Order: sequence, then C-alpha cells, then structure tokens
Amino acid sequence: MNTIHPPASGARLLKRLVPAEDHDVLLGDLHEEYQHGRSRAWYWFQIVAAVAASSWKDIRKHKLAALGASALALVYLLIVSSAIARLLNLWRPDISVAAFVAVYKAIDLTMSAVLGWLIVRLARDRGVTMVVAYCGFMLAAVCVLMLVSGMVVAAFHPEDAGWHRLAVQFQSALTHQFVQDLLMLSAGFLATRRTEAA
Amino acid sequence: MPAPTALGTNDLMILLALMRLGDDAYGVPIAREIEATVGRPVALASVYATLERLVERGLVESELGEPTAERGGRAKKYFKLTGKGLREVRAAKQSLVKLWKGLPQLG
Repeated sequence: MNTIHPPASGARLLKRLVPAEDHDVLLGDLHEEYQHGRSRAWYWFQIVAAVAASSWKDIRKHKLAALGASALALVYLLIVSSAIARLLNLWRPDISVAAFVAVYKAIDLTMSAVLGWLIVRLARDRGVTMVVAYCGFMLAAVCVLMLVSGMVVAAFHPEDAGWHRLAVQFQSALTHQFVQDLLMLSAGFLATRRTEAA
Repeated sequence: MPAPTALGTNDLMILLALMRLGDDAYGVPIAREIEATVGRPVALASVYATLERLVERGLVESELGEPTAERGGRAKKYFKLTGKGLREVRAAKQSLVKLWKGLPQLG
C-alpha cells in the first residue's frame, strides 16, 4: 500500500484549537480514510466538523465557564463601547456622521479582537472554545434583540415599522456581529500559538 | 406494551450500524455504513459524539485496539451494543412498527 499522509496541519490545527479533548482515535480514522483515497477537501471538511463538534462538547462539559466567559466578555465590550462613545463625544472631531460611525466601529472591532485574544490567554487549556461560546451567545443575542426590537417598534410605533427597514437593520447588526466574531476567533487563534510556545 | 424509548434517529442509525458490523465496528466502517444509508458525507466527529452519548447511557461499550501504521500509529476504538442497547433497539422497532402499521401512504 502506498503511504499517503494527510496534511499534518489539520491535526495540529485541531489539537491547537481544542486542546482539552483527545483527538487521537478520530485522527487515526481520518488518516486511514485518507490512505484509502479520500480527498483533501473531504479531510478538511472532517477537521472543521471536528473543531465544531469538539468545541460544542467542551462547552457542554463546562457550561458555567462558558456562560461566565460570555457574560464577562459582554460586560467588557459594553464598558469599552461606552467609554469609546464618551471619548469620541468629548473629542468631537470635525468629521461627518458616517466617518464618526466608521471610527467608532473600527475601535469597537479592534477591542473585540483584543477580547478574543484575552479570553484564550485566560483559559489556556480550553483553546478557542470559550471564544466560540461567546460568539454563539452573541449571535443568538443579536437575533433575539433584533426580533424584540422589531416587535416593539411594530407595536408602539407602527408608522416607523416596515419590513425593509427592519431587514436592513438586521443585516447591518448581523454583519457587524459576524465580523466581530471572526476577529475574535482569529485573535484567539493567534493566542493559542503563544500558549503553545509558552 | 413495549417500554417507551428515547432513541433519536441518529442514535438508532448508529446502533443498527453496530449490529450490522458486529466485531469490526469502529469509526470508519460505522461512518461508511451511515453514509451508504443517508447518501451524503457524514462527519466522523458527529458519529463519535453520538457514540459517546450512547456509551454514557450504557447502550454501547467501547474498547481500544492496537495502534497501526495505517492509522499513523493511532489506535482504533471498537464499539458494540450492550444488552441494554439491544433491548432499546427492540423497543424502538416495536414502537415504530406499531406507528407505521395501517398507514396507506406508506404502502
């Protein structure tokens, strides 16, 4: 039999992102299937699915820690966002509203990346699991908040309600949240490298 | 009347795959068996997640095999049904057959 090895980076990525779980048996299966002719695309699909499944398993095993990380992260972001808004308001730069919002969002997203890095550094043995927990929590929270907001507007200000306006607001909030989550996960991933080297 | 069963579709599929495979039931053949049934790629991690739940519930037991070069020096984990698992599968079959009986749409 030809010895065809799967990409070593797949196994390293899985162990780095979710270090708390034992992946040996699964990686053995992936190795075996790869030798029997499975494609690279199949292999990477399996690695991504394994990261998701292992993270979810880790979160379920440590529900309180995940909830705590999400709550602390939310408090951090609320405090930082509020501080940035106050500072910008005090500074009152001579720029348009659109530019002001862009500056605010840029700082907000930078702080999110810092938060992702901090969460991983504080929970070294969990990898990015706690960041995944927070991102899932926030995505769900944004969806619920937008739904509630839409219902409140429809109930109390029907003249302002409209599907198109609601859809645009929802899309904007979700896009911002998605970018924020991506930055947090990327920064968290970088923090795992520092954790490995430590 | 058969005892009620709390087996989900995934649980039942995996248990039936274990029964078909007998002593050779580990991750790869179990996943392939499920893939052949559902007709689309299956994530091995989700198969293991279901198997671990079934082990926790006492329906399945596992045993680590020897590492092999084919698996990059990693061992296989074999799974098989316990007595309790077999009883659950029988109960599920009885319940489902009862529900399906007499439905003209199913032929």
